[in-house]
Amino acid sequence: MEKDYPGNLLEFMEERKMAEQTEIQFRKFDFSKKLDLSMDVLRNVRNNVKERISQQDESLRWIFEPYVDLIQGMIDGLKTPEKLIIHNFTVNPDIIFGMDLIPFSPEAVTFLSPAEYIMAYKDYSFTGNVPDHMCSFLSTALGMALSNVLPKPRGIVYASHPCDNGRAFGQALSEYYGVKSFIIDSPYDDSKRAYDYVASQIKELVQYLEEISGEKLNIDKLREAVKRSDEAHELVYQINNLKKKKPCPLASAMILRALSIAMYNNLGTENTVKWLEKVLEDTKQRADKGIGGKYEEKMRIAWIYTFPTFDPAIFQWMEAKFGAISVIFQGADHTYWPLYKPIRKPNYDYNFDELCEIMAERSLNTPMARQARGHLDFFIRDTVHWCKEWDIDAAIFSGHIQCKANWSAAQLVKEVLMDELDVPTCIYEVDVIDPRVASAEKLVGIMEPFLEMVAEKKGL
Amino acid sequence: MGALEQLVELSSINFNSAVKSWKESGNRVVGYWCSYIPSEIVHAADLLPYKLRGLNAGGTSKADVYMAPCCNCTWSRSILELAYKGDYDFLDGVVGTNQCDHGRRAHELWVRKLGAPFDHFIAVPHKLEGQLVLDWFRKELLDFKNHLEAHFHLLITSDALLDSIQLYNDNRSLLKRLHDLQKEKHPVITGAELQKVIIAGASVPAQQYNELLNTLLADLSKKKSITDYRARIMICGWCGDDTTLQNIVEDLGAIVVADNSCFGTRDYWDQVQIDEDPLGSIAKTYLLRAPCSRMMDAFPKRLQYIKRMIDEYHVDGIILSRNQFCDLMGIDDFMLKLHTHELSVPVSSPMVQNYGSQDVGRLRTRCEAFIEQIEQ
Repeated sequence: MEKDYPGNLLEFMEERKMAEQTEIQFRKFDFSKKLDLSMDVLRNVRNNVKERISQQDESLRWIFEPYVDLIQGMIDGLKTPEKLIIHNFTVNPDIIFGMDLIPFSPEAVTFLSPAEYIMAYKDYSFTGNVPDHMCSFLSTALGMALSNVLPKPRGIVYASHPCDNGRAFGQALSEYYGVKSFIIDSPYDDSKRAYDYVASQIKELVQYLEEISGEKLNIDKLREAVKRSDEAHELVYQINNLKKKKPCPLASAMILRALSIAMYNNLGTENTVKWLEKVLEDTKQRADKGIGGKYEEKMRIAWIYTFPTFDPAIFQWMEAKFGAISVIFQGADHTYWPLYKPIRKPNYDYNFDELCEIMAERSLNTPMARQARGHLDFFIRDTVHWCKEWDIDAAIFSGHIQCKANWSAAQLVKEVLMDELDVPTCIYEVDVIDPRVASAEKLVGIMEPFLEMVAEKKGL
Repeated sequence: MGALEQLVELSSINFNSAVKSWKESGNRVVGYWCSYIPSEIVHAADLLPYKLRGLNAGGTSKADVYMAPCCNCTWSRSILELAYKGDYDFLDGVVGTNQCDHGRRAHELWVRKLGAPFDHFIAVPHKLEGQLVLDWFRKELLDFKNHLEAHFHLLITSDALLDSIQLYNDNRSLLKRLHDLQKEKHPVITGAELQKVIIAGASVPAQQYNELLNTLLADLSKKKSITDYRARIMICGWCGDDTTLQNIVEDLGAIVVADNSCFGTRDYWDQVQIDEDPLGSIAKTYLLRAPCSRMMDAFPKRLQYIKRMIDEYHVDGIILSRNQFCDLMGIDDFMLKLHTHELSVPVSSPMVQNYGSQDVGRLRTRCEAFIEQIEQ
């Protein structure tokens, strides 16, 4: 494959020695800083992302391309605000691309924002009567909306899964902006009837989008977007299969997070496919050489729900001190095609109805959303599958404290993992984007005895 | 004992005398989580529909093993607690739905950890509009009906359904007549008493309940009216089966005359309009009735409902109330606050409660301040 990017991860690894454990520096936050919440939030986010990337070794910077693509796409979208469609992460942007409209995800703006701004917008939202137990991803976005720094959309498309928070958020946006929304009602089960129900609603969605935008569906554009999304999933499927090898050939949790961003928000784009091809290429090379990440793999970790995103040093600490390598991350597309791989026609000449069926299938199986929307068994069986197939040593349930549906699965999943696979689980409370709830140091303090126990269990 | 006293007593005990008597006669009881589950279908199967309550749970220590005190509501945890303690062992089945994340998970945990002789789950749509949605819901109800028939070895005929619909429509009419008494300048029943009457109905056989309501209406025609009150209050939100807030408001000298609550007017406001398809009629009415905050496209309809209540019941002020961690009602509060300029009355800040909590001092202070604000 042509390498059209500077350096590659494999070369980087070969040039460096295995790092000795060095003191890990956790991020310092200044909660007292007074921030201007009315400034251009998207450009602020872009600058923050670029600054973070510049702090990485040049050979690693390509890992962050999905971050840049996502935010740049939204900034470019502002040039044609009449085409902006707000959607949540369980609505495929494919259909929006197929209408020649521009998808915009307020949740994405939240998780790309600097932590101090997240906290400030979140706190501001509470002054506007947003409940303080609402998911931080969404209350922060509402805080941005209330500060008038998000664009008023042309339309709003929301699916009712995964959770109450999402259902609340869709309503709130619609009321706040005075924009009629289109709701995709998500069923509870996994029957054919359930998938047909969602597919039929996606067809109705086209009517809504045509009505509010004046644009017409371009079936070729839609087919192209859906096909690219499928290609992206196929690539992730292959990457995931390679991760079964020991040591895990994926370098670090940073890639898992980037995968999550790409698959949640950038599906349907050419850039996502190209980036995933790079990830796959690097992973294959490392797998062929039997090489893992920066630190020696001593234990394999599954993040069975989400993980804290405010400080990547947490993962560095785990890897450095315990060789605890993050193999599975629920939100990095360890859901779609969990147990099967659909057969697609090579010429991809699907008609509109068939494309809606594909999008319905993908929407209902969005990572994390699938486990939250349906019966507890979805969470349990999917988690057991990942831990078994990827030979996981320990699981971590990083419990985002506003997540009601997932929290009420935590203890049960923990019991099943121990009973069926002898895999222990660490459960803790955190706000994955707000370090005030549990700091990196606190989380490390919770995980340390757990990982020591795992190490002892493995005879390390 | 007068009808009101009987109903108040029935509302205060989970396994009350009406349920006990029903069971002792060899009949069966099916519990259900949410008022979007049609009682008519259960009744048509000769079963007693019993809306689950968290009353007298005395804490949630067992439920908290699986549900999270950091983010799951105390009402759902209290119900699960009672199930763990065996207080719901009298049930012959339990029906869950996706009313909210707390309730559906509590139901799933109940079934998984404790089992249930009969267990069914109805996926109620989260929106009102469109034939697709109605068709989906009707099919869900059909599956429910079929499952009841198969499990309990009976047949639910169309005639039985029509009879049940009529009975529950009568029930709704009677409750509405009762509630209409609150329109008067001098009501004859307090909001707390009315709420207890409604709560009682969730566990009493419909025929018996209607008889009690008829008697109550007759009794109230002779009752001395309440002439001295500070303000007429509407309570918006709250899914619990208790009268903590009504008691506080009325102890402070105001009177609760209207609500937009789960154990409240939403449950009985709309009659089932019968057409040639009884199941379809039930589906349509339940879907399109006064909507709960779980319905994602229904805030305008909820707002209209509240405005109508303000007018018809001469409301002086609205108290927003919700359970701690309830995102759906929480965001309803947010949206209502965006529209306060359209309402002709003051709206309180949200009064967040923990179901079953003794934290009444804080609520009392805030309610007092709000009532004073109205008086000014």
